[in-house]
Amino acid sequence: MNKNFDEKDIQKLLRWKGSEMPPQEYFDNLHHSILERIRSEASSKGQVGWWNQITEHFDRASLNFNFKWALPVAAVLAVTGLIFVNQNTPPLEEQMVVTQPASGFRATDIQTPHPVASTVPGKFLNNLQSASYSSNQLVYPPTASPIPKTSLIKGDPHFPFGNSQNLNSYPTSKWPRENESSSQP
Amino acid sequence: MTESVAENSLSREQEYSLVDQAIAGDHDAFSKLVMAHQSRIYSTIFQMVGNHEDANDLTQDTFLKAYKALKSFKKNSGFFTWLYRIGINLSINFINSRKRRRFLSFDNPDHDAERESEILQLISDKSPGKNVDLSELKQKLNEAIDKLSDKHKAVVVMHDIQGMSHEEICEVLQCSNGTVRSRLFYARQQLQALMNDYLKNE
Repeated sequence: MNKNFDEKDIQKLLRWKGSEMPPQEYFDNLHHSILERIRSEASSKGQVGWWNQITEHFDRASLNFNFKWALPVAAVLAVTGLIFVNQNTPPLEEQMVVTQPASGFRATDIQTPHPVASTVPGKFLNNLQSASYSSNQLVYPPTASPIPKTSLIKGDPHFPFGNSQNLNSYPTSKWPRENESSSQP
Repeated sequence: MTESVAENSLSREQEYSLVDQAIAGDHDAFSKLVMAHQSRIYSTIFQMVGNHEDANDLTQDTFLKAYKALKSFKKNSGFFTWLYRIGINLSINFINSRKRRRFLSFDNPDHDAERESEILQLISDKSPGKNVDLSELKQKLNEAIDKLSDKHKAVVVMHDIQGMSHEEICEVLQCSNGTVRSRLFYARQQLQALMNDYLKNE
């Protein structure tokens, strides 16, 4: 008697294993699960993007406001506003004035190198829009030339107090005095 | 190709017609195709991956993938063969990707008594006086099948467990008849050696 499995025995064992099946109830529900997945995937595919989801959310909430028009209306309003502001703003050169150092003003007190002012009240903001900040300095666009001939920056050729790097060493007798003109004969 | 293993009562023309209807968006038509093939597809995948949870997921994935690819189905072969190819490929990919393998048979499988008595007789012949525990024997068989390579396992599952013909397997795996036969021979040899070790150890 052969004590080993031969090829036919193995086939018998495998056929026996092939009879393993779950209960029939499982198959009764399986096709429902498959169709459910197909339908859910199809519905999720139909949602194009986040904007549709937001508008759908508000639509579901039955809001009277038609949210779909919000973005276009906001964009039109923003563009109109910008055009209106630009038409009522004088050219940059008219807005810029050179700020002379006030008498008695000490250059060492300067915190902002290029103070910008406007002759028109309320137009200061427009100056700033045409310039950009870099750290604590103003950088002007190349078309504008708001750099005053008299500069308050140490080392600048237009610096009224000479180009000495050390202001403390500058002779105090040359500092402009508040009552200097009145003291002149 | 014979449709010997196809358990469904649908003819090839009926299947093609249902495929056309499903492509047109008829979910009921696709449901009929699912019901016709689900148990065979599930059983094959279960024998490949070895547990119900994974087999359930992969069976659903198989039909889902088939539904999405219905337009690419060429009507020069059987729908069942095409479906089988998707299921086998998904199973092999899954087996290669998973880290830990679990092989769990059903606790209360719906075995037919005639086949069980045949197995009991076989074991008692091979090992007289041995107290045969069928669940233990099945566990050893699962372990032996799991040691086969994916390609050998696929051939054994399709031919010896599911009863598919060589020609059908050729069409599913898209390889020659000789390749199928040689893989089958090698796989049986390997299983024989592993199961004989079991007999000797017991």
